[in-house]
Amino acid sequence: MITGKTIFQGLASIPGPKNWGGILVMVIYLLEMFAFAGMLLLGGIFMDYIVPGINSIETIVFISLSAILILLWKESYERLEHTILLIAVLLFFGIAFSLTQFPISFAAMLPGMVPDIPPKSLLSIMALMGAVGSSLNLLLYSIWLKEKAGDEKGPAFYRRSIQGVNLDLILAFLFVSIITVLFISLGVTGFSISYLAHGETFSVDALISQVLYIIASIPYGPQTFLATGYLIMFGAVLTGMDGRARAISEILHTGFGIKWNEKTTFRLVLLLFTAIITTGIVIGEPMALVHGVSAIASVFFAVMGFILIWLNMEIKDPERPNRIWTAIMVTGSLVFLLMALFMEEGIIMFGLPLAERMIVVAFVVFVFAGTTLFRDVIQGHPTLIDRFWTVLIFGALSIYGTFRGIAYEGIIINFRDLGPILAGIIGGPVVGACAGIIGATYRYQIPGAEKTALACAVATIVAGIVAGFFARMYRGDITYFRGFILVAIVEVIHIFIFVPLFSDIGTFAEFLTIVRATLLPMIFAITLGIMLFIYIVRMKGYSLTTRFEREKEEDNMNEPARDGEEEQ
Amino acid sequence: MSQKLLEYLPFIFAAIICCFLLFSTALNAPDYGDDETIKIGIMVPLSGSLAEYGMDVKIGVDMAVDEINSRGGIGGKEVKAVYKNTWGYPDRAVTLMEECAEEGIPVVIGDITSAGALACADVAEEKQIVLISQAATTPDLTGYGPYVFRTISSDTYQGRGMARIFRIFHPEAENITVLYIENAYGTGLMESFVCEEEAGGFSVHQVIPFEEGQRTFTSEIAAIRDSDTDGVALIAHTTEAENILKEARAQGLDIAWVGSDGIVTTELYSHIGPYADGFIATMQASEVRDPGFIREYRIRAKENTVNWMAPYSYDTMMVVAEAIRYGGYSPDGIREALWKIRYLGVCGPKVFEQGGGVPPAFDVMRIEDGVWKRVSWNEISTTETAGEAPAH
Repeated sequence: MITGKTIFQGLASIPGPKNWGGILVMVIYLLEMFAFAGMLLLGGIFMDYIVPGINSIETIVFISLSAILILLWKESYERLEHTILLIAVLLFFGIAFSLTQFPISFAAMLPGMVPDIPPKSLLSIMALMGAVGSSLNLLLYSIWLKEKAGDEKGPAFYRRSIQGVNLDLILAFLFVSIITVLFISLGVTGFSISYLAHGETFSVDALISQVLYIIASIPYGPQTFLATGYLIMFGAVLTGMDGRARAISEILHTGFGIKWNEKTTFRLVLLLFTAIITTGIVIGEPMALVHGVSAIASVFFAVMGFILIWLNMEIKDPERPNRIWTAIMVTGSLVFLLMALFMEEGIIMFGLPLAERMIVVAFVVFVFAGTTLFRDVIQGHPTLIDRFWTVLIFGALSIYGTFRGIAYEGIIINFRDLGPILAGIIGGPVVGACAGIIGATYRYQIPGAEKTALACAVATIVAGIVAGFFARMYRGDITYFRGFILVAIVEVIHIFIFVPLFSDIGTFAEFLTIVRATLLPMIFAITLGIMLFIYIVRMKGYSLTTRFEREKEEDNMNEPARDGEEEQ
Repeated sequence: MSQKLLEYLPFIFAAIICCFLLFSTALNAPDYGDDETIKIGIMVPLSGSLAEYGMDVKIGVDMAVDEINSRGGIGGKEVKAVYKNTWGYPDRAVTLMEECAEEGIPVVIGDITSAGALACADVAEEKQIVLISQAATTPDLTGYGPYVFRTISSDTYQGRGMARIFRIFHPEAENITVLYIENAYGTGLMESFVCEEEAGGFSVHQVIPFEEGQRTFTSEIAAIRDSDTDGVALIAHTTEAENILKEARAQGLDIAWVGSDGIVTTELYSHIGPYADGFIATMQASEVRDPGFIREYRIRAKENTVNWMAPYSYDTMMVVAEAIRYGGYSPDGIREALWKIRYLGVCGPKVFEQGGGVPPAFDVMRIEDGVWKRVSWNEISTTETAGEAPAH
C-alpha cells in the first residue's frame, strides 16, 4: 500500500542470488498444484454422494477444473470477486443452518486448546500448519489488494485504508475459524459414533460417511454438508489458482523481465497448473497428495517468514511495523524452521551423518587439488592419462559415497552422485559419465538394495553428464548458488524421473517414503560437498573458468587461420 | 485464428470432456442379459425363530423393488426379488445358494445371520456369484473373498462400543460377565468385547456361552447372581434375550446390563415389562429420517417403530440395483460396480471399503417408558466428560 508494489514484486529486491525469493515462491506454488489435485479429488468424492448413480470421480474433477478455467480465463478480478462472494454467502447460510441444529461441545474442545503434540503426530501437525501457512495464501491477499487499490499508493493512502484492511482480515480469519470449528466438531462426533480406535487407519469415505450419518438428523443435512464440502474445495482451488497464477505472472515480469503481456503469462501459468493438477489426478491419492506437499511446503514457510521480515525493513518509519511485530515474526519463523528441520527427520537421521562423511571427501579433494594432475585438468590441457586418473579418483569417490551411505528400507541414502558431478565440472560430460559408470557399477551389484539398483545406477551416470553440460553452459562459472542448483537438478531427475521409471516400487505411498527419506538429505550433503570443492579450488588460486577461456582463445586463434585458409 | 483458439481454450477443454463422457457412455453400455426380468436372490428366514427379522427383510426389499419398478426398472426390465426361505438354518442356506447359482442369478442378498452368511459366502466364492449381506456382522466375513460384501459394519467395532457404553453409563461395574450366544455372531462379538477389557477399565471375570434356541437359563442366571458380577454384557438374539431377562427378573437380579444389537426389537419390552426399563444396547446406525420411507413402512408393517432390518434390506436392494444398472447383470459387472458406489441410503451412506464392508457407525439405544429410544451423542459426550472417564 505504501510502495504500490505487491509482495511478489518486492521479492526481486531481496539480497542474495538473483530472484532466489521469487524462484522459491514459484517452486512452492507449482508444487502446491499437486495438493490442489488432492483437494479437487476430495471435492469429487463429496459430489459423487450427491449425484445419483455410480460416477467417475475423475470426470467430476475434470468438469470442476474446466469450470475453474472458464471462470479464470478472462483474468477478470471482478468476476472472481463475485464468484467467491457467492460461494461465501452459500457457505455462510450452510453453516448458519447447521449451527441452528447441531450442538457444538465447547467443553470437549477446551482440552484441545492446550498445546500438546502426541507422539508420532508432529508430521501431521506440521502438514496441517503447512497447508494453512506455507501455502502462503495470505501473501496472495497482497495481489488482490493491489487489484482493488488500482494505482493508489503512498503513506496517506496507507493511513486511510489500513483499518479497513485489518477489519477485512479479521473477518476473513473469523469466517475461517467458524468453518474450522464446525468441521472439527463434526469430525470428532463422527469419530465418536464409529468406535474407531486412536491411531487406526481409516479412509476419507469412512470419515465422510460418519459425518453424514450424524448430520442426517438435520433436514437436508447430508446434502447441505456435501455441497458445502464440495464448495470449499472448489473455492479453495479457484482462488488458489487465481492468486498463484497472478503472483507467478508478476514474479516473471518483475524479476525475469518477460516481455509479452501479463494476460498471456497468466493464461500460460494457468495451463501449466492444469497440467500439474491433471498429473495429480492421475496419481489419485488425495490425502497423500495434500499431506505430502503440505509437509514439504512447511519448510519453505519458515524461510518465507525471514523474507517478509527483510521486506518490511525496506518500509520507512512511521509505517514500518514496530519491533514487537519483528520480534514475533523472528521468533515464529525460527521456531517453525527448527520444527520443520526436526520434522524432516531425514535431515537429522541422514543429512548430518552424510555431512560428517564429507570430511573425508574434503581431504581427498584438498590433496588432489595440490597435484599437477589437477592443475593440468582444470587449466584445460589434460592428457589421456590425466583424464584416466580423474575418472578413477572421482569414480572411487562415488564408490565411497555409496559405501559410506546409510541403508534404509531397501534403499541407500548416499552422496554417490558427488564424484561424477565433480568429474563432470572439471573434465566435461565424458569424464563425468565415465566416473559415473564406476560408481554405478558398484551400486548396481550391492545385495539387499536391488529395489532401486537400476534407477540409482542410471542416475549416477546421468549426474556426471548433466554436470558436464551445466559447467559448459556457464563456461565454468560455478558459484555456490549454481552448485546448489546443479545438485537440485541432478537429484530431482534422480528421484522424480529415474526412480519411478526404473525402480521396483509398488505404490505411490512407497515412492513418497523414498522421496521423504532421500531427497533433502542427499541435496544437503552433496551441495555441501560441491561448496567445499569450490572453496578449495578458490583457496588454491585456481578458477574453473580457465578451461573454457583457454578453449575460447584456441577457437579465436583457429578462426582467422581457417578464414585465411578459405581465402587462399 | 490462434488468438481465437486461445480465447476459447477452456470451453474446448470442457467440450472434449463432454464428448469423452458421451462416447464412453455409448461404448460401455451395460449388458442386462436376454431375460425379461432381472432376478435378485434373497436369503431370508421367513419361518422359525428368526421369522420376525425375516418379515422386516421382506418389507424392506419389497419397498425397494416396487420403487425401482415404478421408475421403469433397470434398463427397461422389471426387477424381481426371488425369496429363498432359509428357516434360519445355515445348511439350508447353502442348498438355496447353490440353487440360485443354478438358476443363473448373479447376485444374492443375505443371509441375515452371521452363520448363514458365512455358509453362503463359501458357495458365493465357489460359484463366483455376488453375496451381499445386510445384517451379518461377524468379523470373519471381513475380507472373505472378492464376491462377498455386506452393508453393515463388523462387530470388531461393536465390541469396542459395548465396552465404551459400560464405562460411560455404568462406571461402577468393575466385574463383568459376558453372556453370549454360541454361534458365529456371538463368538465374534464376545471376542471383540473381551479385547477391550483394559481400555474399558473393567475385568471380565466370567464368560458364559449358551446355545441358539435355548429356552431355560436358570443355571446361567444363578451363576451370575452367585458371583461378584456388577454388570452383564448380553450378546444374544431377541428370543433368547427375552428368556434370559425373564429369568433374571424372576431371580431378582439387580445389576447393570448392556446389550448387543440383536436384542433391539419392539417386542422385547412387551415380553419383559418394566424390568427392561433403562436397558441400554448398542445398535448399528439405523435411524431413518426419510418421511416417505417411514410412512410406507408403517402401512406395510402395521407398526409405528421402524425395525432396523427393513431399512438395511431396502438400502441393500437399492445398492444392488445401482450396481446392476452400472455394471450389467453379471457377477463380475456387479462386483466391480459395488467398489465404485457411494450411496446415500435411508439409514446412512453406503460405501464399500477394503474387505467388502462399510465404515462403522453406531447408535446407542435405551428403553425409556417401554420404547427403545436413541441416546443423543450430546448426552453420551457430556456423561463421559462428567464421569472423568479417560478419552476414547
